[in-house]
Amino acid sequence: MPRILKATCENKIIKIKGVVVNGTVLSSGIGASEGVALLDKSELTYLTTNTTDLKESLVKINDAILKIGEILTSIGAGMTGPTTVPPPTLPTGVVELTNIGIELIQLSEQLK
Amino acid sequence: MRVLCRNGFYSFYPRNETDVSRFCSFYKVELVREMDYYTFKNLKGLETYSLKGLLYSNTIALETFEGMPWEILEINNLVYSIALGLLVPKDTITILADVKASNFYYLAGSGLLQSGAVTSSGKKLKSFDAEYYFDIHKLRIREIEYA
Repeated sequence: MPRILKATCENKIIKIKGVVVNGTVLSSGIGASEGVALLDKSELTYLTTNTTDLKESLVKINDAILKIGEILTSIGAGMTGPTTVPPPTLPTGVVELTNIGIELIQLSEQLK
Repeated sequence: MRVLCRNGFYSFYPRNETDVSRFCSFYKVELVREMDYYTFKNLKGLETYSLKGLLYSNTIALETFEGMPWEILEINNLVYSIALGLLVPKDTITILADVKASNFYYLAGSGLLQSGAVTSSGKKLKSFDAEYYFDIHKLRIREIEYA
Protein backbone atom coordinates (compact mmCIF):
# COMPACT_ATOMS: atom_id res chain seq x y z
CA MET A 1 0.00 0.00 0.00
CA PRO A 2 1.52 3.34 -0.99
CA ARG A 3 2.92 5.40 1.88
CA ILE A 4 2.41 9.12 2.41
CA LEU A 5 5.40 10.75 4.06
CA LYS A 6 6.09 14.30 5.17
CA ALA A 7 8.60 15.93 2.86
CA THR A 8 10.13 19.22 1.84
CA CYS A 9 11.25 20.51 -1.53
CA GLU A 10 13.45 23.32 -2.78
CA ASN A 11 14.96 23.78 -6.25
CA LYS A 12 13.29 20.47 -7.18
CA ILE A 13 15.27 18.64 -4.49
CA ILE A 14 13.01 16.50 -2.35
CA LYS A 15 13.96 15.64 1.21
CA ILE A 16 12.39 13.22 3.63
CA LYS A 17 13.70 13.18 7.21
CA GLY A 18 16.59 15.31 6.03
CA VAL A 19 17.68 12.85 3.36
CA VAL A 20 17.59 13.68 -0.36
CA VAL A 21 15.39 11.28 -2.31
CA ASN A 22 14.76 10.92 -6.02
CA GLY A 23 11.28 11.57 -7.24
CA THR A 24 8.88 13.59 -9.35
CA VAL A 25 7.79 17.04 -8.18
CA LEU A 26 4.21 17.77 -9.21
CA SER A 27 4.34 21.49 -8.44
CA SER A 28 7.02 23.86 -9.77
CA GLY A 29 9.22 22.89 -6.85
CA ILE A 30 11.54 25.90 -7.03
CA GLY A 31 10.72 27.84 -3.88
CA ALA A 32 11.09 26.13 -0.51
CA SER A 33 7.95 24.24 0.39
CA GLU A 34 6.56 21.65 2.72
CA GLY A 35 4.38 18.87 1.45
CA VAL A 36 3.90 15.14 1.16
CA ALA A 37 5.68 12.45 -0.78
CA LEU A 38 3.71 9.52 -2.09
CA LEU A 39 5.89 6.39 -2.20
CA ASP A 40 4.51 3.51 -4.26
CA LYS A 41 7.09 0.72 -4.62
CA SER A 42 10.09 2.62 -6.05
CA GLU A 43 8.08 5.53 -7.46
CA LEU A 44 8.08 8.70 -5.39
CA THR A 45 5.97 11.79 -6.11
CA TYR A 46 6.11 15.06 -4.17
CA LEU A 47 3.19 17.43 -3.79
CA THR A 48 3.40 20.70 -1.91
CA THR A 49 0.79 21.55 0.68
CA ASN A 50 1.86 25.22 0.75
CA THR A 51 -0.36 27.70 -1.08
CA THR A 52 1.15 30.73 0.66
CA ASP A 53 3.03 31.84 -2.45
CA LEU A 54 -0.25 32.29 -4.35
CA LYS A 55 -1.84 34.06 -1.41
CA GLU A 56 1.19 36.30 -0.99
CA SER A 57 1.05 37.21 -4.69
CA LEU A 58 -2.58 38.25 -4.42
CA VAL A 59 -1.86 40.39 -1.35
CA LYS A 60 1.04 42.10 -3.15
CA ILE A 61 -1.10 42.80 -6.19
CA ASN A 62 -3.74 44.35 -3.93
CA ASP A 63 -1.07 46.51 -2.30
CA ALA A 64 0.04 47.67 -5.76
CA ILE A 65 -3.52 48.50 -6.79
CA LEU A 66 -4.14 50.53 -3.63
CA LYS A 67 -0.88 52.37 -4.25
CA ILE A 68 -1.91 53.18 -7.80
CA GLY A 69 -5.21 54.56 -6.46
CA GLU A 70 -3.35 56.73 -3.93
CA ILE A 71 -1.01 58.05 -6.62
CA LEU A 72 -3.84 58.90 -8.98
CA THR A 73 -5.76 60.65 -6.19
CA SER A 74 -2.64 62.59 -5.31
CA ILE A 75 -2.09 63.61 -8.94
CA GLY A 76 -5.70 64.67 -9.19
CA ALA A 77 -5.42 66.75 -6.03
CA GLY A 78 -2.39 68.56 -7.46
CA MET A 79 -4.15 69.51 -10.68
CA THR A 80 -5.36 72.87 -9.38
CA GLY A 81 -3.78 75.23 -11.90
CA PRO A 82 -5.76 77.59 -14.14
CA THR A 83 -5.53 75.21 -17.11
CA THR A 84 -5.51 71.80 -15.43
CA VAL A 85 -8.34 69.88 -13.82
CA PRO A 86 -8.47 66.29 -12.91
CA PRO A 87 -10.56 64.14 -15.23
CA PRO A 88 -14.15 63.84 -13.95
CA THR A 89 -13.88 60.06 -14.01
CA LEU A 90 -10.92 60.02 -11.59
CA PRO A 91 -12.86 59.47 -8.35
CA THR A 92 -14.92 56.72 -9.93
CA GLY A 93 -11.80 55.11 -11.35
CA VAL A 94 -10.10 55.10 -7.96
CA VAL A 95 -13.15 53.48 -6.37
CA GLU A 96 -13.11 50.78 -9.04
CA LEU A 97 -9.44 50.12 -8.36
CA THR A 98 -10.18 49.84 -4.64
CA ASN A 99 -13.02 47.38 -5.31
CA ILE A 100 -10.72 45.19 -7.43
CA GLY A 101 -8.28 45.14 -4.52
CA ILE A 102 -11.03 44.06 -2.12
CA GLU A 103 -12.02 41.22 -4.47
CA LEU A 104 -8.41 40.04 -4.65
CA ILE A 105 -8.16 39.93 -0.85
CA GLN A 106 -11.43 37.99 -0.66
CA LEU A 107 -10.07 35.56 -3.27
CA SER A 108 -6.85 35.10 -1.30
CA GLU A 109 -8.87 34.16 1.77
CA GLN A 110 -10.89 31.54 -0.09
CA LEU A 111 -8.12 29.69 -1.92
CA LYS A 112 -9.01 26.07 -2.64
CA MET B 1 4.61 -25.95 12.11
CA ARG B 2 4.85 -24.23 8.76
CA VAL B 3 7.99 -22.17 8.27
CA LEU B 4 7.93 -19.65 5.45
CA CYS B 5 11.09 -17.80 4.52
CA ARG B 6 10.56 -15.03 1.99
CA ASN B 7 13.73 -13.31 0.83
CA GLY B 8 15.27 -13.80 4.28
CA PHE B 9 12.19 -12.81 6.29
CA TYR B 10 10.99 -15.68 8.49
CA SER B 11 7.34 -16.37 9.32
CA PHE B 12 6.14 -19.23 11.51
CA TYR B 13 2.62 -20.63 11.36
CA PRO B 14 1.94 -22.91 14.37
CA ARG B 15 -0.49 -25.75 13.90
CA ASN B 16 -1.23 -26.29 17.58
CA GLU B 17 -0.87 -24.53 20.90
CA THR B 18 2.56 -25.94 21.77
CA ASP B 19 4.45 -25.39 18.50
CA VAL B 20 5.80 -21.94 19.22
CA SER B 21 6.87 -22.57 22.81
CA ARG B 22 8.47 -25.91 21.92
CA PHE B 23 10.39 -24.31 19.06
CA CYS B 24 11.55 -21.40 21.21
CA SER B 25 12.59 -23.76 24.01
CA PHE B 26 14.61 -26.03 21.70
CA TYR B 27 16.39 -23.28 19.76
CA LYS B 28 16.60 -20.77 22.62
CA VAL B 29 14.98 -18.05 20.51
CA GLU B 30 12.05 -15.74 20.98
CA LEU B 31 9.20 -15.72 18.48
CA VAL B 32 6.61 -12.99 18.64
CA ARG B 33 3.24 -12.64 16.96
CA GLU B 34 2.89 -10.34 13.97
CA MET B 35 -0.44 -10.25 12.16
CA ASP B 36 -1.35 -13.86 11.43
CA TYR B 37 2.10 -15.40 11.96
CA TYR B 38 4.97 -15.50 14.41
CA THR B 39 8.43 -14.20 13.66
CA PHE B 40 11.74 -13.40 15.29
CA LYS B 41 11.64 -10.51 17.74
CA ASN B 42 13.83 -8.23 15.61
CA LEU B 43 11.67 -8.78 12.54
CA LYS B 44 8.49 -7.62 14.25
CA GLY B 45 7.24 -4.19 13.26
CA LEU B 46 9.62 -3.65 10.35
CA GLU B 47 8.62 -0.58 8.37
CA THR B 48 6.88 -1.04 5.06
CA TYR B 49 9.19 1.42 3.41
CA SER B 50 12.89 2.14 3.32
CA LEU B 51 14.63 5.41 2.50
CA LYS B 52 18.04 5.27 0.86
CA GLY B 53 20.65 6.44 3.31
CA LEU B 54 18.44 6.16 6.37
CA LEU B 55 18.37 3.47 9.02
CA TYR B 56 16.16 0.48 8.31
CA SER B 57 16.02 -1.64 11.45
CA ASN B 58 19.72 -2.00 12.32
CA THR B 59 21.23 -1.16 8.94
CA ILE B 60 21.37 1.64 6.38
CA ALA B 61 18.96 1.21 3.49
CA LEU B 62 20.42 1.08 -0.01
CA GLU B 63 17.17 1.83 -1.79
CA THR B 64 14.02 3.91 -1.40
CA PHE B 65 11.15 1.46 -1.63
CA GLU B 66 7.67 0.78 -0.34
CA GLY B 67 6.28 -2.72 0.19
CA MET B 68 6.03 -5.68 2.56
CA PRO B 69 9.06 -6.22 4.79
CA TRP B 70 10.29 -9.17 2.73
CA GLU B 71 10.12 -7.00 -0.41
CA ILE B 72 12.11 -4.32 1.40
CA LEU B 73 14.70 -6.91 2.38
CA GLU B 74 15.03 -8.15 -1.17
CA ILE B 75 15.40 -4.72 -2.75
CA ASN B 76 17.99 -3.75 -0.12
CA ASN B 77 19.88 -7.03 -0.51
CA LEU B 78 19.34 -7.96 3.14
CA VAL B 79 18.45 -11.14 5.01
CA TYR B 80 17.77 -11.92 8.63
CA SER B 81 20.75 -13.66 10.22
CA ILE B 82 19.47 -16.36 12.56
CA ALA B 83 22.79 -16.51 14.38
CA LEU B 84 23.12 -12.75 14.93
CA GLY B 85 19.43 -11.90 15.26
CA LEU B 86 19.89 -8.93 12.95
CA LEU B 87 19.49 -7.88 9.34
CA VAL B 88 22.71 -8.37 7.40
CA PRO B 89 23.76 -7.96 3.76
CA LYS B 90 22.92 -11.12 1.86
CA ASP B 91 26.46 -11.38 0.53
CA THR B 92 27.91 -11.74 4.04
CA ILE B 93 26.22 -15.13 4.50
CA THR B 94 28.86 -17.71 3.73
CA ILE B 95 27.62 -20.84 5.46
CA LEU B 96 26.66 -24.01 3.65
CA ALA B 97 22.99 -24.92 3.16
CA ASP B 98 22.52 -28.59 3.90
CA VAL B 99 19.59 -29.50 1.67
CA LYS B 100 18.97 -32.90 0.14
CA ALA B 101 16.25 -34.05 -2.19
CA SER B 102 14.18 -36.80 -0.60
CA ASN B 103 11.03 -38.66 -1.65
CA PHE B 104 8.61 -35.87 -2.42
CA TYR B 105 10.33 -33.07 -0.56
CA TYR B 106 13.70 -31.60 0.32
CA LEU B 107 15.15 -32.31 3.72
CA ALA B 108 17.22 -29.73 5.52
CA GLY B 109 20.13 -31.25 7.37
CA SER B 110 19.88 -29.38 10.60
CA GLY B 111 17.40 -27.02 12.21
CA LEU B 112 16.54 -23.85 10.40
CA LEU B 113 17.87 -22.91 7.03
CA GLN B 114 19.66 -19.60 6.72
CA SER B 115 18.55 -17.56 3.74
CA GLY B 116 21.61 -16.63 1.71
CA ALA B 117 23.41 -19.87 2.55
CA VAL B 118 24.98 -21.70 -0.39
CA THR B 119 24.24 -25.29 -1.36
CA SER B 120 26.94 -27.78 -2.31
CA SER B 121 26.11 -27.11 -5.97
CA GLY B 122 26.80 -23.41 -5.51
CA LYS B 123 23.23 -22.16 -5.47
CA LYS B 124 22.33 -19.39 -3.04
CA LEU B 125 19.20 -20.04 -1.01
CA LYS B 126 16.67 -17.23 -1.23
CA SER B 127 13.28 -18.41 -0.01
CA PHE B 128 11.60 -21.61 1.09
CA ASP B 129 8.28 -23.01 2.25
CA ALA B 130 8.63 -25.88 4.71
CA GLU B 131 7.16 -27.87 7.59
CA TYR B 132 9.13 -28.17 10.82
CA TYR B 133 8.91 -31.60 12.39
CA PHE B 134 9.43 -31.62 16.14
CA ASP B 135 10.16 -35.34 16.37
CA ILE B 136 13.27 -35.03 14.20
CA HIS B 137 13.82 -31.28 14.67
CA LYS B 138 14.21 -30.79 10.96
CA LEU B 139 12.57 -29.03 8.07
CA ARG B 140 10.87 -30.85 5.25
CA ILE B 141 10.76 -28.37 2.41
CA ARG B 142 8.02 -28.27 -0.15
CA GLU B 143 9.45 -25.43 -2.21
CA ILE B 144 12.85 -23.74 -2.51
CA GLU B 145 13.75 -20.61 -4.40
CA TYR B 146 17.36 -19.80 -5.24
CA ALA B 147 18.85 -16.42 -6.01
